[in-house]
Amino acid sequence: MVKFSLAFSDKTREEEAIKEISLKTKYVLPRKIDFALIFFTPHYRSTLLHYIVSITMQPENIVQICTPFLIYENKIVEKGVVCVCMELGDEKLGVDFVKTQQISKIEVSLRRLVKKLKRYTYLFSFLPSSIDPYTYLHGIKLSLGKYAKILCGGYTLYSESSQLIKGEEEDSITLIGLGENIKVFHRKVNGFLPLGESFTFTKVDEERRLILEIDNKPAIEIYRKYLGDKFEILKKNELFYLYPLGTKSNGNYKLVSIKEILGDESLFYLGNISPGEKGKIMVLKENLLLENTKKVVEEEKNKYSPRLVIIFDSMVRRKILKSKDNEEKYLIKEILGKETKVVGAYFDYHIGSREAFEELAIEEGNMYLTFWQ
Amino acid sequence: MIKSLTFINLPWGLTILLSGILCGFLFYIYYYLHHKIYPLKKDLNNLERELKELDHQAKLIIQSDIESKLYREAVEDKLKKLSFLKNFINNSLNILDRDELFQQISEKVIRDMGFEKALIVLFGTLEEKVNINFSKNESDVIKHFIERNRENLLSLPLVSPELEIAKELKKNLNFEEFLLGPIVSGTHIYAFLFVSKCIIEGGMSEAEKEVFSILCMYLGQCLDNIKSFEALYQAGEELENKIKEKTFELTKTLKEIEKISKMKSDFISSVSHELRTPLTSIKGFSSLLVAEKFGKLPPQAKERLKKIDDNVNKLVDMVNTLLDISRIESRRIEVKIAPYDITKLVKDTVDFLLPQIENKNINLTIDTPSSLYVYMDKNLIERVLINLVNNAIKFTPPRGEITVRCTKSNSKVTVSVKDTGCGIPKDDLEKIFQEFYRADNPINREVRGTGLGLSLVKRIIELHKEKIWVESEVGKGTTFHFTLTEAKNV
Repeated sequence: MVKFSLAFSDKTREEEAIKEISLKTKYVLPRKIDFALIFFTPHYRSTLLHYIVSITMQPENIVQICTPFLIYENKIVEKGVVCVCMELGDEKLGVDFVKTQQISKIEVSLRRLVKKLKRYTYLFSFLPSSIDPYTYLHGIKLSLGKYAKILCGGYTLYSESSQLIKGEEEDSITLIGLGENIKVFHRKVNGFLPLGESFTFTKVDEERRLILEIDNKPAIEIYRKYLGDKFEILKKNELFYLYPLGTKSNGNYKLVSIKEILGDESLFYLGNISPGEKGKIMVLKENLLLENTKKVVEEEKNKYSPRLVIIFDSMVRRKILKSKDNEEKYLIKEILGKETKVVGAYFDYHIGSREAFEELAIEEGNMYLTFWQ
Repeated sequence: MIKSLTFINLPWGLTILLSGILCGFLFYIYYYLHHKIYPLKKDLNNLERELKELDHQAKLIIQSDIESKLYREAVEDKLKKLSFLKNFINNSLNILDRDELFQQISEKVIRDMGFEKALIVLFGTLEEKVNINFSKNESDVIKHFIERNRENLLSLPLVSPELEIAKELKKNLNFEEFLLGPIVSGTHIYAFLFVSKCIIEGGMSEAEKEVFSILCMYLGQCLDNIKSFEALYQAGEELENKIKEKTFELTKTLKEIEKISKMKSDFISSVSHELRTPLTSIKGFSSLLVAEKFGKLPPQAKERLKKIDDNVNKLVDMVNTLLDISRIESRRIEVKIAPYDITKLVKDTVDFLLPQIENKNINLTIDTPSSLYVYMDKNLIERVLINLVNNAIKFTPPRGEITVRCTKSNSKVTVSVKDTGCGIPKDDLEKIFQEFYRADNPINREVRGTGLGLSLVKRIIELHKEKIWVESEVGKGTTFHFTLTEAKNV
């Protein structure tokens, strides 16, 4: 059975922060640390953290992710380091790093990792900003299939997820594979509500990720239609993240975020759309979101009694929710109770599925909760 | 139709029947289409209308949503800015140094305000006090702008990009958003604060301008405070220097006085010493002469010799008292403090002076407990009592009253000598313990004294670390009190 420990420090100096974390961790896991997952804010130096962790805690594998904010128990922290350490016992966990220059070999790396674990139950992956998520998604689908149990957190603006490979800091993709006896389940929460008449994406350039026409009109018209005289404010302040588009698949809506409006009034997007697909404009309703979160966490708590919950949250959600985001994290911890540890990081986008047997997709604006039994 | 049926050679009857059936069928179809499809079409139209209505509702929801989100963002931004101002004021409230004040304008402060770059330039010398993220070239452009527009800037509380005056700056710096404001101390512009590159989503708004203006005003206020503090500090320094000077002068004077006092004591001591030897000899011989040890004397000569002998006695007393005072002052006197019964000492002293009391027919009362032990030097306190009772006898008229009383309160014993003499005027009360001071009253004019007795008494009591004081009313009498510490368990 996997043993977990969770420790946090907001001390300014790396040495002091890791010393505090190390003391707390050694109290729970005095014998051996097989794996250390570290989320830290940009106030800390990655190389120094890695060096001190490897000296003081001596884990077999270290994965460290720099995140703009981190989640620790019931709060969102702007400055700090949080470390999840695991003693695996007889269970298997594999870690691999793939340099971004070697993205073409991603299928090989994924296959090698899965082979090493014999049977994997879950894969986690962290992607730096230098990686094109579509190439990566293609690689996953080729090597593991389109229903693979994988959850990736990636950055588009934030290039801080470098890892230390053989002592050198490298811009790399991080892969973590869990062996068959480590039970992890994930749920997706968004709170976006589809509104209005459905429309058809009549002209889409999938390669360049551009929506050219919706209902045979310039794509931008969809926002003009719904926002009326507020459209100019939205355009000037680049607030399209507030109203993503949604494509219906299997009765659920997948988010398509609009990142930019181009000169020809086409929309540069992040997500997955095919020409002819139906869609709707989406609005995030905070009350609905909190209800959704509550329902999901309560269900999973009753079903699996998780001991650890790792949250993969979204920067877009944080931007929209603001103080409500803090409320949501407080609510999650309150439902899970003292016994379940909660930790998390923020990403620009995710690659995952709503649940098993649903095709993998790139989305932003969702929160993924991973429940560790 | 009938013609066509006829054409395929059907009998007439059958033709008519088939035609009837066909017409009925066609009528049925028409009837069906009219009554079944039409309501469906109607439903479809309704549905379309409802969808349009829903779409309209969706538009309203989205528009009100963005409005509320923008409003909430503006409120949150204002709250954030208020919190920033509060923190900045808290951190800089007690700063009393100009450089330290400007050091508070850090990168974080500027970012909290919503900008990336900041520059503070002194108005007079154009010296840079703060430079956050501005290149040398950029800061030179700003300084040049201030230099060129000195006159115009005097009347502007805030320079923002939309002003005519700022167009040149906007062009030269290539910044879309910036603010320039004066930091006014007193009535003069002390410096200029320039911020640029707004990092707020949606760009610079009125809120940023307000916070910027408040910050400029606050910095000016802080500079005023620093100025007031400096003036106060300078005044304090001057006062301190003056006090030091005066203290030095006073110390010097005190030292001189002490030196003179010592010289006086030494002089009195040596003079008294030198006087005592011949005086002893004179006293011896005058006593022998008065006692007619060298033969009988004529009455006139004896009378004069008696006067000489009396005056020699007074002179000896005076010299002895002066010597005692001098010894006490120079701390050459040996004090032997030990428990002793004060009531016994009072009685012995009174017994010693009883002839003089009886001579003047004075009514004497001794009000003491049977025994009361105190810590004292018996010989010295005896001199105190003799002096005080002697004074009382001297100033009490015949048939007057003298009371000697001992009272105990907590651990202190108060000895009081009260007479019904002429009393001491209020103005003289403070001076009677001074050496050679004699209060102006008829008795003093009549009875000669040295003016040293009470001075000696006071010094002896002070040697015991006790208190002595006097109460008096002219025409009614005087009471001297002094304290001694009770000796318990004796």
